[in-house]
Amino acid sequence: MLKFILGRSFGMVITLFVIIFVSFFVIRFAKGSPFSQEREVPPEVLQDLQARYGFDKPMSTQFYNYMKNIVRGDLGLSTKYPQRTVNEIIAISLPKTMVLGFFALLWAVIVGVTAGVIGAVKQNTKWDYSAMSLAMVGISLPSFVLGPILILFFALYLLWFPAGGWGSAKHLVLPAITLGTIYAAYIARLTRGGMLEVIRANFIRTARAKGLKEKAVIWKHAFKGGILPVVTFLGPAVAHLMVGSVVVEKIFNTPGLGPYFVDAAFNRDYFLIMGIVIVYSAFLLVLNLLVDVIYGIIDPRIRYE
Amino acid sequence: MGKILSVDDLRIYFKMDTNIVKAVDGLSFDLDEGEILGVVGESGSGKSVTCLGLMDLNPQPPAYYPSGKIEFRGTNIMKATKEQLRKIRGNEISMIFQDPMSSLNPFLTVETQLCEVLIEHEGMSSDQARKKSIEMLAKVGIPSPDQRIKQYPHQFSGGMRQRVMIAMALLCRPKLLIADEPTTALDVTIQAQILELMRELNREYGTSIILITHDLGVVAGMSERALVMYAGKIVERASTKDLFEKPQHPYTHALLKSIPKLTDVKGKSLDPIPGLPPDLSNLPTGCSFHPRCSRAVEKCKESYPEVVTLDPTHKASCWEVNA
Amino acid sequence: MATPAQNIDLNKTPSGSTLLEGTSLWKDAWQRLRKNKAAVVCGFIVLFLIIACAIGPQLLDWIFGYTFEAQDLEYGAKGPTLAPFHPFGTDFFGRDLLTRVLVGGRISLKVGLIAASVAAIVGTIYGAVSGFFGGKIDDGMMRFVDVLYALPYMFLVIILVTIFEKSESLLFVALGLVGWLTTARIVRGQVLSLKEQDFIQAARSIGARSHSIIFRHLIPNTLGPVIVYFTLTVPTMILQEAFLSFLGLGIQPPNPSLGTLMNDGANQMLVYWWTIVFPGIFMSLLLFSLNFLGDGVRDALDPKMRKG
Repeated sequence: MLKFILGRSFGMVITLFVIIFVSFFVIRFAKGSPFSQEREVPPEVLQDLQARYGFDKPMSTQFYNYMKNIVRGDLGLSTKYPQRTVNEIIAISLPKTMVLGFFALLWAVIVGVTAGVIGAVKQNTKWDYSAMSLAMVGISLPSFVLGPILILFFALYLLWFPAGGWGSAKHLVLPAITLGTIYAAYIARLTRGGMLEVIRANFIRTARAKGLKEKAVIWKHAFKGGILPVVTFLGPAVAHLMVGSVVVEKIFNTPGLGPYFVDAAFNRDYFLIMGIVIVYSAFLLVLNLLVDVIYGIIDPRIRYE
Repeated sequence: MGKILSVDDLRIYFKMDTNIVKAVDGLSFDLDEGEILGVVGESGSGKSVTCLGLMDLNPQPPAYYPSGKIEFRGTNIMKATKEQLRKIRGNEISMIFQDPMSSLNPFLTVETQLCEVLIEHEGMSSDQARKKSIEMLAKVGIPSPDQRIKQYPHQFSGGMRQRVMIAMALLCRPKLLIADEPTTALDVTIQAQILELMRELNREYGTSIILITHDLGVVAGMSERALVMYAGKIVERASTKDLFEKPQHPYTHALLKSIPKLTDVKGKSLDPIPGLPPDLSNLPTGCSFHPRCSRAVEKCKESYPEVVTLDPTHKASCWEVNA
Repeated sequence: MATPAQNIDLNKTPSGSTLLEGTSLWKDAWQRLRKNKAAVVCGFIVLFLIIACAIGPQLLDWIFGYTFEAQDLEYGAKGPTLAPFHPFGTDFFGRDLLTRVLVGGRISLKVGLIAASVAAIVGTIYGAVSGFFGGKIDDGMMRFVDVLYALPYMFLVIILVTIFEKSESLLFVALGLVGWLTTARIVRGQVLSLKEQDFIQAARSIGARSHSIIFRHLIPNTLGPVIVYFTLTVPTMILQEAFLSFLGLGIQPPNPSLGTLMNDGANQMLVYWWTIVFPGIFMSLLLFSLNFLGDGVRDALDPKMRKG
């Protein structure tokens, strides 16, 4: 197990390096520069700026220096916000994105798993059809449709929640639901499918033949196996959730990391883009590993190699 | 000896998209306390559906019961409440399934799966339950049971898994054990051990056993009495001895001829039963066996044969059989 | 002695037999699909939306002189009215919202279909090649897919489209690049089991060339799952295009796509609710019926999954 985690971690470091390498050069060889966006800058000022960020050196030296800094945990300076380091920007905004993501995921898992289990246990009944139709609606409601609808109804009409911003738990409700609903829908479908597969398995018949209570049959015997597809889905889902938060944070004016990313790409804020890509990639890789470990804990037949 | 189970005119149909599958169609039989009853037939003859039906384990829908009565020690299984059924299942009636690979839950340890039966039905504490479970594993011949009980099913071999299944079935000392092809998925040597184990437990605890198999050889060694099923109906019932020595129904004949014997001359070809088991949603008219029967006459296509009683223990349903 | 293989006409026997099987498979699937009421209704909705997007804008142009960019600043943003004929209302510039939604829908459908096709074609070929050659080639190719899976691809897409010139074709490529991974995995799995079957072995034994086996025998037999996945990819691609356009990274104004319309609407919704409600309903209806139809197709082609 430990060997497996170590091996995978090694692979992750390499993957991360590839990601850094590719995005570094893709960004650098693209048209435009961090300083071309705004009004004309006098040449000598531009030279100063270039030197300050090290852009005057050859590309290979720049990459070497950048990697050296990364190993030390320094993600560099923002060109758009010259007063702030990338580390600072991420340190301030990432936690907000994570809090939002956490509650979105909580919503998605609770609603999705419940709906999925109901759908499977009461297969081909009204319950099942309503749960699955709702899931289909959820899948067909992108965050940029759902978000505005929720704002119009709950914030502007009913005045229950604020339409955006940050500060209290109330601020989180609408964005978390907006972000999490589509995942709830996917999880519901996966849970239902997984549970149905397991419910038809012979060992569930055995459990019934043993005279166990229906609750025990479902939650003790079927649930573990039925939930496996959801576990597989959760790793990538969390990463998607973070991407999705770009839109949701824009709609709800949440001061998270998302909006920085698009702006940074537009502004050619090299180090900020790279910083965000690295943080997100690392997240994704760690989560995928976590999923594999959890998978093994649930399914004892899996052996780590 | 008193009757432990009596089944009367049991019908189990499955409602499919466009048609109705008559898996079990008018079955009646009795079982005595401590008896081992063999039930023989090809796959698709309704054996497994019958035994699931005895515990009301067929999924409904699509299954439904147009008629019938299953009386087990004074309780009509078909009219029992869910709660009554639950108390009977795994406690008074236990079942062993054909495929020990898939019949144990791969996600739970053997301990969990054994102990929960005792905790549920006998209200034991988990310590008591573990102790009893280890004893039972030892009884069914699993070496170092106190170690192995902590393992998961995939860490057991096929024969060992079936032993675990048997241990699980016997934990509450059931009055009736239904074994649905318990040895089909196992090697021949393991097969013999498992059958021997079941016979021992029958002697020791007086458990009645319904042994379902397509293998006449298994029935020969185990049971005093056997039923032969074809297309959801019993076509012949007799003592095992009579069944082998003077089979009456052409289907029983054919089954007997299709098993190889050690005394067969080398090179002698087997006689498989021609044709395929019938489509249960579209049975032939008259006797369901007539399309495959070498002795079929015109009458067989017209109406289902009445039961012919050869002697009180030997009955067959065939127009060609005379009392 | 003549070997049996000499009598096999490679081009006929195997595909001939699968063709027979194939026809009944497709026929069965079609029958099952027709029985699925929800899928049929959604199919008609999709058809209706496609036709509306295809000819609607022309009709509106002929009858009322509306185009997606014709402004009427004097009229400005007004709610839905039938006279003048603005059933979805108009936006800030007095542009007819129905026209813009239909044109946007047309672009979204086009992006969805092309990107999903790119994904299906690339994925099928990649998966078939990987599965067919097996061994180290398979290992390497699938490891590459694994690595791509592990990438935060949407970020790469965002980087790609912000940094390079914005164009529709780049959008197709970027989205297609994202979508082929799953198809590749599905096809590889199918090919792995198919290639052990007799007709492939027979083809090999008489020395048929690899590409002929892959394209003539393996790929046609994986079409079912590929089509299923394709139908489910179309709405996903439409969604992702809208996602990018919503962020201002996809289709550029004044060209409307469902995403840019939603973005405009989101900016104006506090004052002009209809600018978000109608594009939102249109988009959700489109996605909903495409998804339901895709589900129906899957159930029809894979009856095993149906009751589950």
